[in-house]
Amino acid sequence: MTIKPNVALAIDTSAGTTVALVSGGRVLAQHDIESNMSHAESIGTAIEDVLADAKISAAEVTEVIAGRGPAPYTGLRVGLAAATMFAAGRKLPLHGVVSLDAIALRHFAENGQSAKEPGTNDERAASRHLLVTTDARRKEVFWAIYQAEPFARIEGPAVNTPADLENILGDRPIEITTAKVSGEYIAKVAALIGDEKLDSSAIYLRAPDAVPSPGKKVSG
Amino acid sequence: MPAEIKLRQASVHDLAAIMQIERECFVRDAWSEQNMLDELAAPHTFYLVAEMGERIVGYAGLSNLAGSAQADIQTIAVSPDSRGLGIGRKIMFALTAEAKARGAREILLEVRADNTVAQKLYRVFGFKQIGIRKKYYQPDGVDAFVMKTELPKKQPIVLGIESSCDETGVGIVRGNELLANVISSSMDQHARFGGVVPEIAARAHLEALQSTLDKALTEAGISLGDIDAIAVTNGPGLAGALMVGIGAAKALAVALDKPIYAVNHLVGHVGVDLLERGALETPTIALLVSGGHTSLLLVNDLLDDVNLLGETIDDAAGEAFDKVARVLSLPYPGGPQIDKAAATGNPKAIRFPRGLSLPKDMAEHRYDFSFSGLKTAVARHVELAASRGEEINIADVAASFREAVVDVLVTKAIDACLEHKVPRLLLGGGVIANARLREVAAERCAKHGIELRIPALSLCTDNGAMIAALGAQLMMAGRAGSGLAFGADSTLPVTQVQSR
Amino acid sequence: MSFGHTLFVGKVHDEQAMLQLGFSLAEKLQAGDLVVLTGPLGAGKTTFTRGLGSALGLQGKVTSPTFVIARTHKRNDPQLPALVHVDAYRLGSPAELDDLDIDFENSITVVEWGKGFTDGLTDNWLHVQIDRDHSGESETREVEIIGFGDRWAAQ
Repeated sequence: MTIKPNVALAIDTSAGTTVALVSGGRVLAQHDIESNMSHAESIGTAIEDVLADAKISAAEVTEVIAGRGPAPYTGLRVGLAAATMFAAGRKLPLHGVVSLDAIALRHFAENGQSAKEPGTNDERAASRHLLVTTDARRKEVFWAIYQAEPFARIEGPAVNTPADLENILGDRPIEITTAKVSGEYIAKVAALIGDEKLDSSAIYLRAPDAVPSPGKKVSG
Repeated sequence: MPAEIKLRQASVHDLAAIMQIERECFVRDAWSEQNMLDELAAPHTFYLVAEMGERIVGYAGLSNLAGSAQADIQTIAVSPDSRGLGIGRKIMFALTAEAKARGAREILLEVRADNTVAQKLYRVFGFKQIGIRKKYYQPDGVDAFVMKTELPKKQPIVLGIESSCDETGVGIVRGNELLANVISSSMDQHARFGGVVPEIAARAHLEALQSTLDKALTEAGISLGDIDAIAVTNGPGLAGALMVGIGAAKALAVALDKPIYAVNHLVGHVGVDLLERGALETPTIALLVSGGHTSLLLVNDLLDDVNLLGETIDDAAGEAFDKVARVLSLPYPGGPQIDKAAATGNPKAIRFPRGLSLPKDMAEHRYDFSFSGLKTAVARHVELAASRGEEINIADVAASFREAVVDVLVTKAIDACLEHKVPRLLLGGGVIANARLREVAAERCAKHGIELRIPALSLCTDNGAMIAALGAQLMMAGRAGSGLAFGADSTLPVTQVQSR
Repeated sequence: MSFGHTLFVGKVHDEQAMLQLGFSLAEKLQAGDLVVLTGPLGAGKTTFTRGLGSALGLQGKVTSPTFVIARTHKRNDPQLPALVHVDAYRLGSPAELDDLDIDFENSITVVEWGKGFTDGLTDNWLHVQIDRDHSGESETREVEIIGFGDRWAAQ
């Protein structure tokens, strides 16, 4: 009996468009389009291209993982819609990951603090917290705080002005990152978290903000 | 009222009735009674008669040798006193269905060169002239045009996704046959805001995708593996909302490894008639009226020749209804509310302006619409009364406003038909639900001898079936898919039926 | 307190003149510019924008975006910045305008009923105020165009 290897298609459009095929912790292929304004144009070719690059057919994908945000809504929804429909098209489980989590995991991985580093005896590393922030428009930021060992989100995700965030952080030592979200790490976060990934809904953090507008007059 | 027309297979007992019509129609080149009898009795032919009540008013015959890919229409004749009742068209549907059922791949026929009426009918059914037989019809010495149509081997099953406004539509068609039409609307969520809120609409689209798709597949009784292509609206409409449908459709197309067709929402509204009648008779004028669109189109060819004659230069008619409803303190959506209020009102009570209808507007804006002045006039009327402490007769205002909208819509549409000599008017868009609009359109079309087409309401409002139908038409016409690079275009022009 | 620089103040007598005024403003505009139109119902905001649009060479006609809230018009030359035509009539708060994810930086944005909805979006913007004769006797409008921010100071 052959067990089909797990091949995850990871899609995130919380910033630009990033799509990756990951199997057994290895990236088979990845495509990133930096622009945060062209998700609808890019998403189709991005998925098609990673499949072609990895020489994998759509039928061989076993799981779809979507970045849930938080992120500016219009772009975020393109990736979520695509992930939902790819999963529906191939009858695959659809999992969700907080996009900020992927940024944190990437930072730890690329800065020598892997989430599961056996034998690490670095108390400093374990106690250091990482702040991940992304642009939330309206002069606010989306943010969350992480620890490396074991990898976990300690606070957030939430949305605040930078000033408010400073108050929330207070005096505690905090590391920041310039890492960007990537499909590879969307998949890797999914592999680490348990049932939390069953939720693939969008994270908006704000209600639609629509407020009934008062009528407008003709005169005056 | 004329009796209903029924078709049935002909038998030799119908010979006398058939011969009477044969001689009436084909005065000088009629078949002999023996010829006709041989035809009726032959094993490889299929003859039918059209009956109105007890009387046979038409007949036709198809020939197809067993196993042959070619079928021939031997003859079609309709009694001279029963023309113009659509009998010819009914007969054509039956003959083409029979040809398909027999496994034919193409149908041929001959028609007199001077019989333009018949030629037009055949063209509607996809026949094209492929040759001439000189002086074929004797003793008149009239040429015969040889015409042919090809029957597609398989009608493609296309799934269409529509998300240009506040309705998530997933529709499935098999060629021109409607298999499923499922709509999920977020209208209730917009009610308190007096109109569609793009953010709410887009969120709702994302949430509705999965369930709407599942319902459509169940309704159609097909599985994803049966789908031959995906179609999706890429414009015009709300950008954020469109993007959800586009992301969904592209991913589905890649997942199923099938082509994707990005199509125009407005042209979709025109093409929906195909699902009800199997053929779109062109040229036709199309009046599309909804919350977001008010457009007058001249359609010569659904896929290749759609022209914008005019559109609103400010508010769409549906939007005008919403705005005026607000002015009158009626809830959203405005259309049905104004209708309700207008029921007891006098449409002639106040003469509100009909936008862009003055002589000075005809040069540049003959077929354009403007509801801004009308909306302002209503608002002024109400404010003036309020400032004077007078009571407003809401029923009269509503009825008079509605009359002004309907008047200008129908007047310009009829004008377009007459000016362009196109005796066909097709209505589409959600505002067609307005009974007064349908009523006035029917009245005035009848007066001018214009054929009026109003598809079922479920197909007039935004829906996925119309998108699937347009995609299927493109596919059946042999057009390549759109590729995966297209984006959302909130102002996509009607001349661009498919985008790449 | 910010003082604006007046680019235009005067009477506009008919639709043609309003179109012309919009047309003449267009040549001053570039990517990142924001124009806010204020005026009562039927004042001529969309007419002004139509005139503006005709000078820019747009794909698709300018019509009222009340229903869709924002319409993006590509230019005939796709290299040039698009015109984003917004109608804030149905918006209740600036946050809703934000939700539309408009590419302000790379577009020329015109917002009808925009007063109060664009604060903080940019430091440079134009305000077009259109007033009408409320007695209804004349169709003449009074129009004032004022530029705010360093960009318009030097005009």
